[in-house]
Formats: sequence, structure tokens, C-alpha cells
Amino acid sequence: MAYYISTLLVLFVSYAILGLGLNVQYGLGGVLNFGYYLFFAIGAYVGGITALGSDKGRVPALFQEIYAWNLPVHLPYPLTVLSAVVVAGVFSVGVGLIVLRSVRDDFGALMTFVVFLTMFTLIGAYANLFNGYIGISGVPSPVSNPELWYPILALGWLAISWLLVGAVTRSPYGRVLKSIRERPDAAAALGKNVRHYRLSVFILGNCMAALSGALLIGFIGAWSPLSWQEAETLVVFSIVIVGGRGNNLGVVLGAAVVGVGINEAVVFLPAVSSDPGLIPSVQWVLIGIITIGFLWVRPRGLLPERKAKWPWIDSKPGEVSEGNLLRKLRKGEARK
Amino acid sequence: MPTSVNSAKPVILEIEGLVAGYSTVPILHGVDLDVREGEMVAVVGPNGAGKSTLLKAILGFLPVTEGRLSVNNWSALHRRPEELIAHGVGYLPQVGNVFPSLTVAENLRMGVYAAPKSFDSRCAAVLPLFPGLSVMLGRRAGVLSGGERTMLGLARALMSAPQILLLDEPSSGLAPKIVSQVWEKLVELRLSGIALLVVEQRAKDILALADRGAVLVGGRVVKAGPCQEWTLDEVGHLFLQHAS
Amino acid sequence: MNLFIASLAFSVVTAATLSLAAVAFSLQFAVSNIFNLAFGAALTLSCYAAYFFFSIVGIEFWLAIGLAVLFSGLFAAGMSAFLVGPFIRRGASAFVLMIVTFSLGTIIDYGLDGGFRDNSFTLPFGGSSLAIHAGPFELSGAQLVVVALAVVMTAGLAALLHRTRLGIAIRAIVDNRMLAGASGVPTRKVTTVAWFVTGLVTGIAGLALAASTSTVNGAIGDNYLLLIIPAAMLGGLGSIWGAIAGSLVISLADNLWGVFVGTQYEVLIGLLVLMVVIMIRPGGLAGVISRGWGGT
Repeated sequence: MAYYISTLLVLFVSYAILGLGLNVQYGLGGVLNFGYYLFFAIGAYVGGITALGSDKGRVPALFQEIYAWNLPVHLPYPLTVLSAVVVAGVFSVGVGLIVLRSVRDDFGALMTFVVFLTMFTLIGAYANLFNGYIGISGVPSPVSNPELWYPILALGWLAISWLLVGAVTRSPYGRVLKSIRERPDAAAALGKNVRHYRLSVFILGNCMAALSGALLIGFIGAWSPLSWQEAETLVVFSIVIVGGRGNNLGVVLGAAVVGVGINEAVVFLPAVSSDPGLIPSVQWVLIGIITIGFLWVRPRGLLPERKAKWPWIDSKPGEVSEGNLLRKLRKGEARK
Repeated sequence: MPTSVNSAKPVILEIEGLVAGYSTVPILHGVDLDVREGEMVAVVGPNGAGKSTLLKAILGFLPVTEGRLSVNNWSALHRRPEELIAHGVGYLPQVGNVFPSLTVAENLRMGVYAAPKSFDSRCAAVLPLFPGLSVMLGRRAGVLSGGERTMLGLARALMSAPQILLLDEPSSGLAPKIVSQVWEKLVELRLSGIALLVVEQRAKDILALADRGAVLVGGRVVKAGPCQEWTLDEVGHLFLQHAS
Repeated sequence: MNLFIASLAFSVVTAATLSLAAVAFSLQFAVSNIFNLAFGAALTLSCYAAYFFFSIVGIEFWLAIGLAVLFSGLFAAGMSAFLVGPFIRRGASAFVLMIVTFSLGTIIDYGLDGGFRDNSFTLPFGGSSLAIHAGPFELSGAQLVVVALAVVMTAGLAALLHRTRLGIAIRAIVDNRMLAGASGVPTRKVTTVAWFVTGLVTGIAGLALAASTSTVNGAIGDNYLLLIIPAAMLGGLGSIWGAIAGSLVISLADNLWGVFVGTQYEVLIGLLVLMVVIMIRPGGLAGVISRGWGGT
């Protein structure tokens, strides 16, 4: 039972940091990233591999392939997390520089989706990258009594993330981001380099995803493509949408409600508890329905962002759908 | 020059206390307006007064929250645009007034979407008004000049044999010479018995042509009636007075 | 050089299926101005529908295939009428619609996963006796049927869009939805019909995909998106001829890579093409092609 509670706590922290990072991208900066979970996976892989190091005695011979990496030593604890964040950050720069060049923002979002699918196939198919579909396992925990101390360590990381995101949101930089999210054209006209600001939130968000991934693998000890299928990205989107896009407290609430609550509640459904093979299907179908439902009934989430002027804030220039046309008209006509 | 209003003629379009826009930002705050058979009514006003919004609300592109709207005594509130077209309304928007990747002939066909069999007879009735168009039926509308597009848009709107045409700034973006051609065309249409509701920036020109005028400021009609005698000073003063 | 010609010929075959899918994806974008991220799931759905009608209900094979295609069309029409359309009319942004379709795709994928429990199955298209060998490639009879089908479908679609009132109305909506409504085109109805047509094409593409692979699994559609999206973007969204040209280029690149470089990292091709398109020619090839072909 104590182990179960520890697991839930670590899972909650992991989802909360993931949600906060996605909220920086989508909620604060107006960047839509369907490849978000890829950076979580990279964080988990790098965090795991640096913790394993070259200590071959500790891992089964099955994983010989990864030693193409030939890490001379295994890194001490905070450095494993830091290296995960740095690797994800560097990779984000490369992806972001290309994706954020798109003429339309939804082209960029589509491209992140393709990046995810490509990397998923690539990492699964090529064993000497991250050991392919088998993945890595036997990652040691950084603390001696993980059941007790790991959740406390995790909550510490959540506190750091919370303070970081809060500081960013309240800073002048955060206000520029909000202005870019709501009126990118106007922000550009005021001399703000929209692409640089978007790149910076893209990187910051992905680094937080990597932090969360490195944190999770320190507890569960194993990681493979089965752990990061594309539906996982939906869980994080659901957390942000259900919690309240743009509201950090809402996102943490969303992590508890969707990430932990719904995922765990499904296990106790009578139809499911007799057939555990159904668990992932029911979870993801349910989360998909909840996401669409919230977008329809309560698009601003359980705890809406304060001072948001428009219910559908992310207006994009160049869209010609009926509704957007009308909203644009309203904005034009409302200016007196 | 047009004669004074014959108030015995039946009302085609009737608007009473129209409030439209959005729950958070209403743009029209109770507009009253009517258009009778065969007359030209001009709506003028400063930028952002709600002129285009008025036409869009009539056509059902914008939600109407209060008021009455009828076309030939048929309640036109909360209808889809195609239903209004079927009840004798034609519309020429200010921007995007043609389908650029369709040919001129295909543009005209879209004007009679609901009654495809009448295409030939309507062409025979409409095309003589626009001699320039008949020679470019196979050309893509995207390559036409601004003036030709406006004429094509008018022709397309006329294909459904409307009793009333709603025109949103038909002169916008056109060279002065072309603008006067547009005015001539409007007078021609009015004489042929089609009622016109014209929203315009060029207040002086349109008030001289129209039978009646309405000055729309801040989403309200602040002056209405026969407009032949209105002076530009008077209208301009209204623009400024109510805008603040 | 023989190998080059052989891979060229084989590319035409693989491009046939790909172009059907890319045309459908591209047209859905053009009509509703959204990216349908449930498109991969819709391809998978058509395969499962055929499997359901044939293996579980026990209908005769080709009838089951026909029903699956019809189901795919109805599904797309329903998706447009009851999900995408209402969100668009509410003023939802392109981002919100991407999340909505992504959610729907997940619901379908995992609904099928939970509902069928079979990890993989085979649809007995047969026709292997007709197999033709060309260099390292092998073409089955079913694949040749697919090429013929793609040609017929494309010609039919082009005729629909250029020769019929409904098709012209679809193009009018692609150009300017508001003006189409103001001209008297019932835009909602035409949009739904357009999605129905794209759904039929999607269904045929999904089943053609199933015919060219030995087994069908739940990931068949989503994996194929890695080729569909770059093909549609390369061709220029909304253009039939562009989508076909894009599919040919992608298929050729894919097969040449396989022959001359090896299957290592073949999966990167789609992403690389997409990167080049976005950096160099965001509008795709259609800008060039439409001048010569009258566009669509």
C-alpha cells in the first residue's frame, strides 16, 4: 500500500511537471507541440543511460547494444537529470528552428506530429540508439529508500518547476509571450521577434518534459517505446485543457484529476478489473472523450486563466474558417 | 436623378430594433431600417460604425440577439444565408467578392446553385447588363482586374433574380473612373426595379444617388430619411458628434 | 540503371495507394481548413470495418469491402457534421481543432484495440497468382488493381470537381466559404458531402494499403501518415494533381533510398521532405502545377 501511494505521488509529480511545461508552450506562448512526449522520452532515456553508465555488471547482457554509447562512468544523481535536460534542450533548438519557420502555425504543429512519429519509429527500429523496442531497464534509484524518499525528492523538483514557471509567467518576458499568443501580428508590429520568443518557450517547455522524464525513470527504472506511444501526448494535452489552459494551478489540478485520478479510477471499473488487457484502451478512449468534452463545454478548463479576454484565445492570422472570420470581424468592429 | 419616395410601395426588407454582435461585444444597438420595392437606400457612417456588420447580421452570418428582421413579410431571423438568397436577397461583400479559382461561368453558376435549370435563362437576363463579362466566361476569376471582379460579383448576385441587393462598399479599392461605372450600374439596376441597400464610405456620392439615407454611428441610426437635400457638412458633423 | 527503371515502375504502384490517401487528406484540409489528425485512425478503421463485416459478420468478401468503404464515407461525413463543423462554427481555432481530431484519432485507435483484441489479421484479397517480378520488386495482382482503381478514382474526382454543380460548389467553398453561403450554396450540406467523398477515398486507400501488406495491425494507418502528410504538403494542400505529384516523388524517394542506400533510416524520408518543403516552398508544388493544369 505504501508503495502504491509512493507510485501515485511520483506519477502525479511527473504529470504536473509535464503539464506545466506544456502550459508554457501552449498556454503561455501559443505554440502547439504534438511531439511533446518525445522530449519526455528523451529525458527518460538520457536520465536512465547516464545513471546506468558503463557498469556492465549491473545490467543484463540483453542491453549490450546501448554500450555503443560507451559512457565511461555513470553520473551522480543531479547530473543525470541535468544531462537529460541539456540533451532535450539541444534537440529542441534543432527541431524548433525548423518547425517554427512554418508560414502557418498549424503547419508547424503538424510538423511536430510528424517529428514524433518519425522519431518513435526510428528509436524503436534502431537498437544502438536507445536499445530499440526492448528499451532500457535496471536504472538504479538515486536514493536508498525510494518508497519513502523518492516522492519527497520528486515534490522538491515540482516545487522548483513551479517557482520557475511562476517567475516566467509573471516576468515582463511572460507578458510579451501572452501578447504574442493573443495577437502575434500586433506583437510583431511592436518590434517583438515572435519567432525567437516562440523558440524560447518551445525549448523551455521541452526541457521541463525532459526533467519530468528523468524523474520518472529514476523511480520506475525501465523505459521503452511502449511507455511513450503517441496517445500519451493526449494525456498531457488533456491535463492542460481540463485543468485550465494558461493557469499553472489549474494544470497541477489537471495532473491530479486526469493524470492520476482517471488513470487509476479506470483500473477499478468492474469490467476492466476482470480484464486488465483493456486498461490502456479504456483509459485513452476515456481521456479522448473528456478532452473533446471539455473543449466543447468548458474550453477554459476547471480553473480558467484570469483576465483572459476571449474564450478562444489563440486566434491565428490567415485562418478563413467561418467562426474565425466572425471573430476577426468582431475585433475589427469593436475598435472604436 | 431619382424621384422622391413612393411610400405606397410594399416594404421588402424590414429591420426593427436589431441588436447583433456577440454576447460580450454587441456592435449594433437597435437598428431600425426598411427598404421598399425598387428604391435605393444608402447607409453611411464612420469606420467601425457597424455598417458591414449590419449586412452580415441580415444575412445570418452574425448572431442577432434582439429585434425583428423580415424579407417580404417572411421572418428572416436565425436563418442560414442560403435561405435568404432563396427568398430574394442578393449580396456583394466588400472583400472576396468572387471565387478566384473558379471560372467566370462557374462563378455565375454558383449564383443559381438552388435552381440550376434556370442558369441559361438567368444568363440571358444578366449578361447583357455586363457586356465585358460575356467575352471572358472561360477565364479564371482570379486573373480579373478589381473593376471586373466587382462587376462579376454583381452579376453573380443577380443570377438568383433577387428583389433586393445588399452591397457592401461596392466602390472600395477601385479607381475613380471605375467607381463611376459602378454608380451607373447601380442606377441602372434600381431603374430595373431591384431594391438596393448600399453601405458606403463615399458618403457624398452615394447620398446623391440614393432615394433615402441612413447615418449609422456607433451601432445606431442617428439620422434617416430622404437624403437628396442632406449636406455633407451636416453628415460629417454627425459622424464626429456621435463617434465620441 | 535497370534497377532505377524497376524502382520507377514500382514507385508508380506504391504511389497509387499513397496518392489516394494524400488526395483525401488534402481535400479535407481545403474544405474545412483543418488538419485531420484522425486521418491515420480513419485508414485503420476502414480495414477493421472490412474485417468486421467479413470475418465476424460473415458477409461475402467483396461485399464486405464495399460496405467498409461506405462505412468510411459515412464516418467522415459524420465527423464533419457532428464534430468538426460545430467546433468551427463556434469559432474554435485551428489548434483546438487539431487537438479535437487528435483526440478522436486516439479514441478510434484504442477503441479498436480494446474492441477487437486481435493484434493483427489478414484480408484475403488474393491475386497473388498474378504476381509480376520486376528486379527486386514483386507486384501482386491486387496491387495492379489498386493502380487501376487509383486512376479511375482520380479521374472521377476531377470530373466531380470540375463538371458537376456539387463539385464546383465544393471548390467555391475551398475558395471562400462565406461568399459561397452568400451566393446561395448550402455550405454545411456541401461540406458534409465533400467529407463523405473524401471518406470513400480514405476507405479505398485504407483497403488498398491492407491489400499491399500481408497483415493489418492497429498501427497501419498512423504509420502511413509519415508518407501521407509530406506527400500532401509537397503537392500543395487542396490540389489533387499536387497530391498525386507529391505521392510520386515520395514513393520514388522511398524506393530509391531502399535500393541504393538500404532500408536503414528510410523512415526519415517523409520528415526530410517536409523540412525541405517548409523551408523552401511552403505552398508546395501546386503553385507551379496549377498554371498548367487549371488547378483544383
